[in-house]
Amino acid sequence: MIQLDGINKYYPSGAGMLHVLKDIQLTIQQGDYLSIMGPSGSGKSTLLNMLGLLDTIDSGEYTLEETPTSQLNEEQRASLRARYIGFIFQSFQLIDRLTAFENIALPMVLAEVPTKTRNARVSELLAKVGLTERAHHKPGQLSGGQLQRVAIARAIVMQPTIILADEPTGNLDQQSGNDIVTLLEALNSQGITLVVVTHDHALGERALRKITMVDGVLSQR
Amino acid sequence: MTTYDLLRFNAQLFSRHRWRTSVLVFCIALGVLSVVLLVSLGESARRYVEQEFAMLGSNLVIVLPGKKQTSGGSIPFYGTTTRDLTLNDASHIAALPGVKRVAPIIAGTAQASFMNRSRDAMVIGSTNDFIFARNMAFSQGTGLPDDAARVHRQVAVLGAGLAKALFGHNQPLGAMISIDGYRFRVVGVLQDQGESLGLDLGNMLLIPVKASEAVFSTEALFRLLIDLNDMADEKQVISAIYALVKQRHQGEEDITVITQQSVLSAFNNIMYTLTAVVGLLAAISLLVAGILIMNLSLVSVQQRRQEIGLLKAIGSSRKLIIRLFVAESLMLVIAASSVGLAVAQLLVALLANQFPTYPIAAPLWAHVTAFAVAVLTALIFSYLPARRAAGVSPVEVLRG
Repeated sequence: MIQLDGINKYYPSGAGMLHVLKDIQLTIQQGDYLSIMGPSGSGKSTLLNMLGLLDTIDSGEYTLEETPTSQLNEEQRASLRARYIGFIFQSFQLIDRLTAFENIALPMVLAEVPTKTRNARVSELLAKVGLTERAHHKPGQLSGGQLQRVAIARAIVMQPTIILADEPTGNLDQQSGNDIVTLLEALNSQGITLVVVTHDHALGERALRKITMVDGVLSQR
Repeated sequence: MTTYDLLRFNAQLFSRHRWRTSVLVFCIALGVLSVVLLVSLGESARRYVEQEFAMLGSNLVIVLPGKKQTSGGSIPFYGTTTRDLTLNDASHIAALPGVKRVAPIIAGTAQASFMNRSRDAMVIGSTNDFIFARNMAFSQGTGLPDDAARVHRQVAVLGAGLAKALFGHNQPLGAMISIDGYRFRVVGVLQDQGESLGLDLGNMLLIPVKASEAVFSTEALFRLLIDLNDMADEKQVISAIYALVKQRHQGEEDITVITQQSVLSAFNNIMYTLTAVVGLLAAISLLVAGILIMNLSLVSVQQRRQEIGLLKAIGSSRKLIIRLFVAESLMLVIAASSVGLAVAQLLVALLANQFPTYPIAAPLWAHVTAFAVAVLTALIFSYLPARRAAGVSPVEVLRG
């Protein structure tokens, strides 16, 4: 479960400090399917980064799976990220020199999971995202939709409880985008919490809970 | 990340950036090669001189005419003397307690000829004690007569090269040769011993010292080689030599006595310093390689910002990022150093094979030092880029 209590975030700007997250209150239950929409600069990506422990908060408390995170150091946040959170990015963020198999296995490599377990898990996920035949292809040899499926497999390889997706269909054609959304919703139906940040109104509307960010203020529908 | 995975991860990186990797490996290997090769040459030169001195025997004392003086600066000069060192001086020194034998030497060059063949040769006028002092051996015949210091006998011992030049395949023993117009009978031929302390023994002509006084029209000795008894107190004998010569030269202490050990020790000190300086200069190339490592690593960090951001986003700690980048440099340096050491070893072996009379070898400490300096350089110069990599913010680089 995720609990945000009175979160505030400021960034320095030319005219002083910019208040990008204003007193955010939010609870996300295990298995929720949540979309965060809003115009550019509204603070939705900042909120996602904060949920992913990539960014720190200036005040308030963020509790992730019963662990208060505001006082954690960088190493502790990295450890929590590895354990609970899977990321999906608009630009896929795959490593060019690694194959699809190696890209998916990367979080397990970092976590020192034994090779045998790792190989079994990656093979299982490749089958799940329909890329078994492309296991040893490098990113340059895959289409946009295939790249995002590799990224999804990597996001769930460590069996996270939450997936944070930042514009997951932003770089895909409509058909590939639909396939990816279907895949993510299937994961959500298996109990994984899904938080999607998007400009795409149609995608946002598919979520069970819809949140809108305007000028750092959160409103729920 | 396990060590195996870390090595594999970085190996994939090297394979992707072959040009960058090759440049680094080449530079570091060249640095290591220079250190090992130059230190080896310095050390080999030192060993060569040590070996040459060892051939002279361990109890050797050399008496030079003239007093060694210092005048104002640190450079020693050999002063001139009004009184020569003579065979009489030599025979008195030979009678001192602790002195085993004395080889008086008169040296010069002269033309040696046999029938229609002639050659310029280094002529040494001495006694059989010279042959003992220089550990010489004969291939034919005998040495000089025992009375070589007292009686003018025109007999000669030829160096191997000179014998071949004058006689070819003919038998030299018993033949008469001419040395600057004096006729000498050949009584012996030395074994081919090459050069020793700059003296070409093969082109040498050894005649009785008494006869050499006539050949060179002088009674002045070039120097005395004195072999001491094993039990003799070197300092006492040297003091006695000074006192004796002073008494014989009307109160003038106009000789210089040096011991083989002091020369060897001074030479060793010079060679050690020289080797260290040369090694240090070569190590500068490793420093340059280190700066190259740092620059290329900084470029690598810049190029891989997204990858670093991703690694951090999927759970990599700061420590692991630092470990990844330092390990990258270490892997390169270890591989490059191994190449450098192997090539150095190969070149040293080739040199040793090419010049078998010289003790050319790469000392183990040169390998260890070059390797350690290279690894240390990698650690130091990769740390800054590694820290910079660890400081990359995933929020900034993963946007978009």
